[in-house]
This record gives sequence, structure tokens and C-alpha cells, in this order.
Amino acid sequence: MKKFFAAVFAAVSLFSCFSCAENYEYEYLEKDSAVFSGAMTLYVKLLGRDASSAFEEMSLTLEKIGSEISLTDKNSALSYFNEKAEENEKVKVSKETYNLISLALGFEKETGGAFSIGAFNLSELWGLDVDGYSGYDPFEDIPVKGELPDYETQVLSAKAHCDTSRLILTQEAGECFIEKSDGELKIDLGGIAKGYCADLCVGIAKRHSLKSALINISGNIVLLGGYYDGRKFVDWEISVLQPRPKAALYREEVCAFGSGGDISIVTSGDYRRYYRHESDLQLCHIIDPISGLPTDISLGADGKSYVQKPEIVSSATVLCGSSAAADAYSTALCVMGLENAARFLQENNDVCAIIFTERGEAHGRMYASDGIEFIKEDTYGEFRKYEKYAPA
Amino acid sequence: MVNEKKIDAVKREISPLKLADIIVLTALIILSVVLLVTVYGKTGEKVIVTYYGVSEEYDLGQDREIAIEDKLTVCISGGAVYVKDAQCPDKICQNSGAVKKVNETIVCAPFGITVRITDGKGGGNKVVTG
Repeated sequence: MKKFFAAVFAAVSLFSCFSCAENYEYEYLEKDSAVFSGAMTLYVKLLGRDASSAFEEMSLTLEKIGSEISLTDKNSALSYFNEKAEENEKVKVSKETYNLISLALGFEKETGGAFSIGAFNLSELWGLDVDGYSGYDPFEDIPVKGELPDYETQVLSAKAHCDTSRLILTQEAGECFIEKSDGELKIDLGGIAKGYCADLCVGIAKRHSLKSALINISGNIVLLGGYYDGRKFVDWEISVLQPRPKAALYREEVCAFGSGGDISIVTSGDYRRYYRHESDLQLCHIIDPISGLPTDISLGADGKSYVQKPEIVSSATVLCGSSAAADAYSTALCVMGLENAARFLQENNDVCAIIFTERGEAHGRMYASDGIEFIKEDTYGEFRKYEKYAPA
Repeated sequence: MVNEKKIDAVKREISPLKLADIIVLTALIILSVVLLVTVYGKTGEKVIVTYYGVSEEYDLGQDREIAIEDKLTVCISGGAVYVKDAQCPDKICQNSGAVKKVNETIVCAPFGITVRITDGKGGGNKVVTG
């Protein structure tokens, strides 16, 4: 009998040692790195025994995709496709890039063309590609000089070469190729690549059986599982930046909501990448592929001049299961405008969003999907200034 | 009579502690003490000083003095925190000595000031999007 109890005692002490070891394992690995010469940043918080090898694998995956689709690197496969490839010339791409492009074409259909990877000609025309807006410093606020593109001769003709149905995807003997039947077509995967990479990182985290993870790729956020506070799993607390004035600089929060995890969160807005033109028009980096204009301006009554829209979507935060989808939808919602965006959200129940609009520098309206649980709404003074929009 | 006999029998079954029971009990007590010490006995990393609902966080590793108006002075020294000069009549906070373990607090009720030690990991669940 004594032996039996001694064994129990031994087992209990052993168990206590194990529980200490478990506790030690429950510490987040926090890492960040600039991938592909700073074009993408990866910030992670990973919880699990394999956290550091998972991080290594994530960095490598991002580096690989980044080097293929970067448009700032003139030697990337996509730069070659845009600048040098001729009509019907097959350009070899990796399986990942191939999947990314076919995914993007699917989202273009779903959003009725509000999201498109084919609008790069227009971005370049408006000076809203990376090279364009990065020359403008919101702190200095020196307006960009120069003629805006003429609608009939320039915008319409650039728009004619933005048709993604001229993009052809083929697979031969396990290898993937893209080609274009319009030699002028240029594609830009910037609106979806970060989300797609985040989805790949989620796959890596799951393969390494991580218990909880926060993956942030240049603002594309994925939360895997709840947050472990050292004793138990709790909800994450996600704050949305106040879009005006100049959110990217002041980083004030407009509202916060809770989430138990297993969700992707992506915000698109007009306030981070934009420039002000000497005509006093503000031009943001999001191009409406349907009108051919940046989303914050429209064509004047004379059919030639441009005017600032009276109300624009300044920030759209999308929550959904896939990060690539969240990335594409958040851009699409900005393009659609508040009413159409709300309608789109009601038709797609698996997508949730918080949308803010601005009227000039004044607060506009706010729409939030039913599923979103706001935290401490009363502590955010700015939040209450937005008029709540309820679609009829 | 019959009932009392039954109760006696039951008592005899239960009450005498065997040596083995004592071993198990001791094991459980040791275990719970060990757990309590590991969970609650961690030395803190940060100290949060709250005054009128406004909180400031300080590093425990860096020795310094924090004067809160002319009401009291909080002293960080050698990884521990204590209240040096309290201008209140009771001086309870001043006499409560130094704190350095996670969740230990010093409260100055007359001025509404609290000093709390944390592991510096709070707010890890906060994420910003935009």
C-alpha cells in the first residue's frame, strides 16, 4: 500500500513539473522583419513549440512571392510581364502567383469589377503607383504640380487596356504561365498579394500546430485562435484608426471591437497613400476601375474637368475568413461607395465590415455589419460624430 | 442503540488517518504552495501609477523618483517600488513598505493614487488596423 501511495506522490510531482513546462511554452514569440527590401513588412506574434521555425518559413514564403510579383523590382516576373512581354508571350510564374492571379480574377467577378488587378495603366497615368504618391509628404503638404490626365484622350484610352479578360492563364506539364492578348495590359497584384501571403502564413502556422498567432503583413492582419494572456485565452481587441485628419500620422483610434480569433482583418482607405494636386483636388491611390478615376474624384458636368466627390468612403475595414478576400473586398468597398457597399455586405453574409465616410474634412456616415461587437463605444468621442447609416 | 452502533462503525471507517493519506495530503499541500509561488510570486517588470484615472507606466529596472504633484513621491529602486514622502495624515502607503511582485499594490486612499506592479505584458491582445 505504501508503495502505491509513493507512486501516486511521484506521479503528482512529475505532473507538476510538466505543468511548469507547459507554462513556459505559453509565451509568444514576437518577431518582425522587412521582406523584400522593405516592400512588405511581416510582424508576428506566435505561440507554440515550433514558433521560430514557423516564422522562418513565413519569411521565406513572402520573400519568394514578393520577388516574383514586385513592381518596384524591374527584374521580377510581373515587371517583365507588364513592361516587356509581347502579345501572347507566355511568362512562367510560380504555382503560388498563378493561384493568386486566378483568385484575384474571381474577386473581380464577385465585386462586379470594383476590384480589379488590371488597372495598373490607370494608376500610372494618375501618378498613383508607388513611385507616384511616395513623392508626396503629408507633413510638408506641398501640392503636386502638373497637368491632370485628359479624360477623353488619356483616361479612356488607358482604360481600354485594363480589361482582365485579355489575361490568359495556362498550365502545361505542371508549369504555370500567364500571357496577354492585349500587349498593353499591365497587372498589379498589390491589392490582394498581402492578403494572399497572409493566408499562406496561416497555413504555415497551422502546419506547425501553433496555438495562437497574430500575423500582420503590411497591415493585413490575421488572428489565429484567441490571445493567451498567460493564464487563459481571451479575446483580441482590434482598434480602427481614425481616418481624418491624417490617420496615418496621428494614429488616433476611432473605435475598437473584440474578436475570438480565426479571422482576417484588412482596412483600406484613402488617407494613407494619396497626394494633393495643385488644383486642390485630393487624389487617393485607389482607382475605380469602372470610371477610370481615383475614387475620391468624379467627372464634372462638362465631361472634361474633375471634381472632388462630396462624400467618399475614407476607411473600410473588412473582417472575413480569408485574408485575400478581406484584402480585395476592402478595396472594392471603397470603390463602391457607402450605399452599394452596404448592399454588397447584406448579400454576402460571410463578410463583415465597418465603413466610414467623410464629407470633405467633416465626419460623414458610418456603417457596421451586425456581427461586429464594439468595445467601450462611449470612450471614442470621434466615433459618435459619424451619422449611423441604416440601409432601407 | 442500534443507530449509535452504526454511527460508531461509520466513524471507525472514516476517521483514522493512515500514513499513506498523510503522504498524499502533504504532497497536495506542497504542490499547491509550489503552484501559488510560481503563479503569483513572479517579480514584476513594470509599475503602473494611477492618479485620477490617468495611468503612467514605468520600467522597474530603471531607478527613479516620480513626484505626483506635491502629494507624494514614488520611488523605484533596485527593482522594487515604495512611497517616500506622503503628505497625508495617515501615511499608510508610506508605511506599507516596498513592493516588487506582480499584482502587488500600494494604495493611497486620501489622494486616490494607486501603484501596481505588472509583468509588463498587459495589452498584448491589442491590435491596430488602418
